[in-house]
Amino acid sequence: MGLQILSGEDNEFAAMQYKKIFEKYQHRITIAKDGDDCVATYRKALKESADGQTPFDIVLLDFIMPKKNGVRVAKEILDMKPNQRIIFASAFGTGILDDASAILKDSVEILQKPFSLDFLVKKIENACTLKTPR
Amino acid sequence: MGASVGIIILMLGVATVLSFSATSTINDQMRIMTIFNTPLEKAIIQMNGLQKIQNLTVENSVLFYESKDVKNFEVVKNQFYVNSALMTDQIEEARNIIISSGKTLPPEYAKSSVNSLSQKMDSLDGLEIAYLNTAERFFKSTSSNGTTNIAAIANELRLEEKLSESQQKDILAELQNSDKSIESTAHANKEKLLTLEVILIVSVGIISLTSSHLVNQINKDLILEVVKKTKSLQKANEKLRRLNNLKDEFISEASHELISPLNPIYGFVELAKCGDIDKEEALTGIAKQAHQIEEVANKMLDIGKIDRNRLQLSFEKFDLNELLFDIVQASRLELVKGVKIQTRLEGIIEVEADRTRIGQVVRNMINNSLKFTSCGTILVASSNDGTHAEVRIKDTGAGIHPAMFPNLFNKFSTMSNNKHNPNGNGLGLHLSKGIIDAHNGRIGAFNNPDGGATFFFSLPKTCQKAGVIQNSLTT
Repeated sequence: MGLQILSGEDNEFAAMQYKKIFEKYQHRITIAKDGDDCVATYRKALKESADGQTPFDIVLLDFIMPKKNGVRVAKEILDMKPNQRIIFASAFGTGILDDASAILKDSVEILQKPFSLDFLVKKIENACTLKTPR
Repeated sequence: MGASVGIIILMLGVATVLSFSATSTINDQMRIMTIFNTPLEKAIIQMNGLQKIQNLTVENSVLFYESKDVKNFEVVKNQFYVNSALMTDQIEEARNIIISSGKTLPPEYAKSSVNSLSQKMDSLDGLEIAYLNTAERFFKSTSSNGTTNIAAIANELRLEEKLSESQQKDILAELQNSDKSIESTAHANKEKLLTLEVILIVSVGIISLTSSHLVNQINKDLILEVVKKTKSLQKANEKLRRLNNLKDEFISEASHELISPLNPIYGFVELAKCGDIDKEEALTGIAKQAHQIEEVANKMLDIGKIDRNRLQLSFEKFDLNELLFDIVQASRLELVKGVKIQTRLEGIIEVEADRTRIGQVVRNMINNSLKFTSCGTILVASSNDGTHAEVRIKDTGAGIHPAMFPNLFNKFSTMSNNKHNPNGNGLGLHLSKGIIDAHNGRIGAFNNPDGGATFFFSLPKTCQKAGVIQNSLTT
């Protein structure tokens, strides 16, 4: 069974590519074009999830997103669902990413851009398979 | 401070010289008294005493001569000669005092008193010689038994005694006057010196107090100045530190802006290779992303030019409304659902400006409004007051956060307020201000009373070159 993924991505081309590649591997990806949209989509999905489980297997965020930055989005999502797995994909230098990972919970992972789409899919699949959901 | 110390030292020096001079004057006066006046007075008093004995012996001689008491007459006669020898010695001694001590006295004293005393002493000496001659005649007459001229010679002797005594009194009076004058001069000198020294000490005290007060005041002022400067340095330091932080953030985020489009480029290549999308679509996407990188890089280069005052403008005459219309048309192609762009452009507004740069400003402003407006209307309007053309871009978006206003057009402003700003690399408005400033125009923004924000700029319609390019970093 494919994974449920939420991606906050304001670059329309990157969003389109994520859609293509994840769907190729039988996963379902929902794209949010900015931070607000991301939080709203998550809240809606959480409401609709009948069993109270995390509505997405993975939330993929960038640090810089329109309207609400990635860290704030992550915090709001973790407030709603503390065990939600989140992966940051960002073009920031590793120094800043290290700083950010220190203040975020360990359920958050960080990928540095640029990376191949294939690598992203593998990373997400591995993360969901290897780690036991809390 | 240095001058005060100098004055104090000078005054102390003057005080020392004064006391030295006064001491030396007093010493001179003391010397006059001890080696001249006092011994001379003694000599004159003794002379006076001897004179009185002489007088007595002359009177006794007359008495013994008249009573024919030869024996006593001879005794008295001998006494007279002994006294005369003593008198001559005394006169000689007094003359010696005048001559020898007179030489060592201060010249002004020597001139007046010594000369006059010396003359008087000569005259006394002359009187004594005459007196002795008369006495000689007197005693010779008594032995030659002549009776007629004895009483006359005795009278002559009495007259000469009186003259001598008067001369002695005169000399004594002069010496006593000199004593009095010396005493009063010494007293006056003492008083003068005391007064001067009191004045000097009080002056030195006043100067010292004033200087110390001034030095205290200067110290206080200096301390205040140092505190003020330290505060202003701390402020400047704080400002620099803030700017440095902003710059660091800016560099980090600008690199992010440059790297971000690379990911979709790699994505297109990857997808095209696997045949997940067709090559045409991949190439178009890659071209667009490359264009985005180019745009960011160009903006950064332009900012660099503005900051170094090297933005070159290429002035040409064009219709501002036509430019606005073209840009709006292009922007409409990329509108998201729910957002509209309206225009209010009337007639032709001919301006002389850099068309490309003004286009850049308009695009920046429209893009800025689009970023903040998720649904609603963006109105692009122009107006013209004869000398200036104005463009307003009004949106119905989120408006500008009050915290953003002070630095809205500064470089890095976006970066410093990430939480209030949804997107953007913080360069667009700074660049726009640089361009408008270079045209001698005005740029600004405000929140609309009914929601959303309005950005505006106005330009002189005719070319005004050599516009000063503001460097916002310094504001």
